[in-house]
Amino acid sequence: MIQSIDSLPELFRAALVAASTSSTLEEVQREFLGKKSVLKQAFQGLRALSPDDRAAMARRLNELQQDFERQLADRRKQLEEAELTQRLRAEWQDLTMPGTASGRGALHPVTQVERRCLEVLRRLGFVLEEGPEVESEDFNFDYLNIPKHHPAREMQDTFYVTGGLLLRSHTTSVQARVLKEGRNPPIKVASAGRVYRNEATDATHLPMFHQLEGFWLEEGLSFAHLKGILDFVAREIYGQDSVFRIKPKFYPYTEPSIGMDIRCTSCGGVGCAACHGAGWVTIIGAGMIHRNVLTQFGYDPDKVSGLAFGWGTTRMASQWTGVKKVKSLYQQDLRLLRGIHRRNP
Amino acid sequence: MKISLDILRSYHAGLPAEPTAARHLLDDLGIEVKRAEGDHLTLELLANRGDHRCYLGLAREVAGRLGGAVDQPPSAPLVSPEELANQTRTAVDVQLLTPACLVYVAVPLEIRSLNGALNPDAVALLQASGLRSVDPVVDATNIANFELGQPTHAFDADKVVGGIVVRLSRPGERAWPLFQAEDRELPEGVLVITDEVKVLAIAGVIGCEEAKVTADTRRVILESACFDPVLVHKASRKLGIHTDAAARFERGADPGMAEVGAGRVLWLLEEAGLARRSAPATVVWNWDDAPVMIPLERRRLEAWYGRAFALPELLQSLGGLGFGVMGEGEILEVTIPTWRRWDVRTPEDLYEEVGRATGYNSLPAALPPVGLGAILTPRERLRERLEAVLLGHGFYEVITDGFYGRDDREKLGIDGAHPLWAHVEMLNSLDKGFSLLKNSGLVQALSGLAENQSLGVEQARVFEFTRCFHPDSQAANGYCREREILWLLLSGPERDPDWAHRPGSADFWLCKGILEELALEAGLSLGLVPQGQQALSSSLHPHRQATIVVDGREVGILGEVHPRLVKNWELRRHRPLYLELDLAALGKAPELPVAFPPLRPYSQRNLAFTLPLGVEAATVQAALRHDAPTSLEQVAVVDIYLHEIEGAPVRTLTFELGYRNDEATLGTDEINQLTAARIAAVEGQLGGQGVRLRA
Repeated sequence: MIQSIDSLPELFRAALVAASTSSTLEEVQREFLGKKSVLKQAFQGLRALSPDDRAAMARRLNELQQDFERQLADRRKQLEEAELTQRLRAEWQDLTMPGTASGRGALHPVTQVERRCLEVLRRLGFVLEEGPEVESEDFNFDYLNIPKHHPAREMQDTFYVTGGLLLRSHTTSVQARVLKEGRNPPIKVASAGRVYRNEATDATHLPMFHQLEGFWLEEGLSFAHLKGILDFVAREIYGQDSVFRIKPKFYPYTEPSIGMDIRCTSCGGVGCAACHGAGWVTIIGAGMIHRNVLTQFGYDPDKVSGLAFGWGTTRMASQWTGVKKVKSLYQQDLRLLRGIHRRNP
Repeated sequence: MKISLDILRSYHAGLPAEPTAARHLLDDLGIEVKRAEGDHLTLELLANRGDHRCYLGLAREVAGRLGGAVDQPPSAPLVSPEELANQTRTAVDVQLLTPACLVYVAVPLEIRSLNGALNPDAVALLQASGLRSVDPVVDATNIANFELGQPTHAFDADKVVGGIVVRLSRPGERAWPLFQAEDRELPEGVLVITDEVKVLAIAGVIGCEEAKVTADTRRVILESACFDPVLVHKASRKLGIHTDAAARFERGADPGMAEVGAGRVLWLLEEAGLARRSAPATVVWNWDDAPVMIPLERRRLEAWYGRAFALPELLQSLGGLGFGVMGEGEILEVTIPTWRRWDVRTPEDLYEEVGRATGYNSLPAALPPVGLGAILTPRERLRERLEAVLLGHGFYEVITDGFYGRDDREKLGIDGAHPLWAHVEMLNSLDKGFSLLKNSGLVQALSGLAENQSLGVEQARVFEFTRCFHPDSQAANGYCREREILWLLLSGPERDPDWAHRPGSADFWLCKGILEELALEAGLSLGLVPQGQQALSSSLHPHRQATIVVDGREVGILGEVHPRLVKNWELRRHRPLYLELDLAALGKAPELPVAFPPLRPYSQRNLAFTLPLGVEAATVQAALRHDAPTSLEQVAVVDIYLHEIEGAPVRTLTFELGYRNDEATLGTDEINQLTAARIAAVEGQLGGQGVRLRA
């Protein structure tokens, strides 16, 4: 037995070197460390030895077993590494092939612009309110200090559906509806959505487009506050480094009325096709709510004042996307909608 | 309006010499420069500022900002001191029969020569304004209008019978406006200038052929007046005649300028030796020229703008603009100039004058305290959740314009008795493509798909949140109600095709699955009822459509678009799927309870039943569930096998029966017994219809 034990290390090394796969290595393990292995039989033969020989042999056998186990572990690790390397090499893929995930869709650019604006207005406490698109002349014109003879009321400018009813020509009708409810100030409301103009359609004139506006009614609001709000909103939307200016405008429902221009981002203000040579592009119409409007709804204009502002989100979407012919934004052209979101048309 | 900066500078010397600086100043004053070509500018003027439509008005704005005086061009007197002293009679009899004419001036002129030329500076003004020269008399009236904002008109005095009467037109009265081919009947109530037999002019709009000045004219009546802006506007619109004079009058002219304007025309003609006044002018006043005063509370003004205004500053601003200012204390009395009576009526109007003259950009800005901000409304939140589902499934949002034409309705293949036939119709759309307001999203969905297919787009997944309009006399407005919907359309491959996938076409079940995802996001338990009697039912495949039900109410429809419509819209290849949901109905439905993870294990058994065609899976599912114990948690279709039995096509569906008992874990024997009972239930209920357990 001693002689055969002595030959085991040599035999084990040879078998270990010959094992070239994990499965053959398992066979080596069974042969040299399994229940029927020479080593296990030697352990079982210890009882037959004298106490002195038993101790020496036991020590010898334990050392051998530990040595075999260590070598097996090393060899296993070596083989697994090799096998993994081989497997990985076999699993080579052509990574230049295109990705295969189905693409996510996207919101319409006008909706995206609207959401971005509403997010800014929500930070200021404005809550979205909605109103009907088929509107009465009262809410669309009369309550807003737009007199009967105002050009906007002409048949060729407004879509009429029947006597006294029309398609709203601006989202300011929502302001009239909210004020008509007689809520107590402060009132901070945003409105957004479709508006309609009865115009001959071309690439830049549409029978329907989108507007967004906000109004704020409270004691003590001033023109300085209006400027502060506009400055905040415009910088949040167009960027802190943008350059703006205020200019006088006229709207029947505000007094004073103003417009806010942004220095043309295409030419830096020297004049180009994008700004029609003006160097500036109008982005917001605004003003202090006219006392006639406030009085109409029972608010005392000597106590309560209001500010209002709004802009065309269709136009803003056009500026943002670079789509010059805004009509195309409303034509369901999936090539364009995908392209706007940097997807292959 | 086109102007020359050089000419404007002759009215106010303080206008910056450098064109860019001058242009920026005008922009800042609300006189928007749309185009600049050297010294010449094209302006866009504020709609309510008729007084801006002349050099004098523009110069006043400059004076309001810069201070200094405005130089007004000279006018000739309408009556000489000698004539006054001698009480010389006027030569033109004028009667105002309506308060709509505030002042009327008639100046009798004798033409001395028609071959002379007007002052070259004045002619240069005409050219800078983009007007062509007509004849010296007409040119002089146009020049005075551009200088002072006072339209004037010349009649051939020898064609005027008797005196001049200003009145409203009578029923059936006719007139022959200049440059028109023939005379026409006037609407009743139009403000007209007449003599004893005919209409000489549509007041404030245009003269008439029968009294026009020609090369043979030797005597002229020069008219200068101020008319009611609303009547002028209405006349211009009703007759479809748009002139510079109408544009000026309908924005409110200056009643104090009528005499000055007439005097200016007279000066231009006399200076050139072309004409002379033959008698004192007739001037008829019909307006209250008492000063109009508005108190200006300085404390309120300063609170409005957030800064103090010293009295000299106010005097320069308001004074430069032509306002009179009286007082030195807290409340100033401000006199409104005659040219601003139409648009300055309130304290805020005065604030505007001060603010504009000061410069809005130089005034302070202050963000008021804004509080905590706001959150999304429940409607906004619901919409965003539904959108997230659709975007995840590759849908693009589209926005349609809400209209279509009658031709599009024809494509639906319906008649007047069909519930989809009735539309809210436009009274006055310029384009017949905008005649009808949509009553569902289907027409535009199919039109969009056809357009995309024509552009080579094969896969289309689009949706829209929009409103439909339905005639309804019971609606709040007594005419129509609005219905908010979500519609979506799928057509083409069920997923993005690529080198690794060859997907089939999107089908009903994909559409249904997306609906189920939407319902989950909305927290709703939806039911589907095959077919139905909805307005859109006839537009969808009769055997591939279902009504969507929430809490017993019909809230929408989904299905494959009817082949007839596919043909009418010339769609090809894939069968489009359409879904429409009534959003208002969704919002009112009770929310689903939260599904917490169970504590006991789940056990399943699969059963395959063979069904003749026509027997629905839901029928078998119902039979499996009928009188089943609560431990039967789920019955779901997990596989389908299409084959034939004795030559007849059948379907074999595999149902997964899931069991769970919340009280105790079910044993194998117990589950087997339950399953055997389910098999017996199906065969008992549906065996007569040919449903069999497949061995």
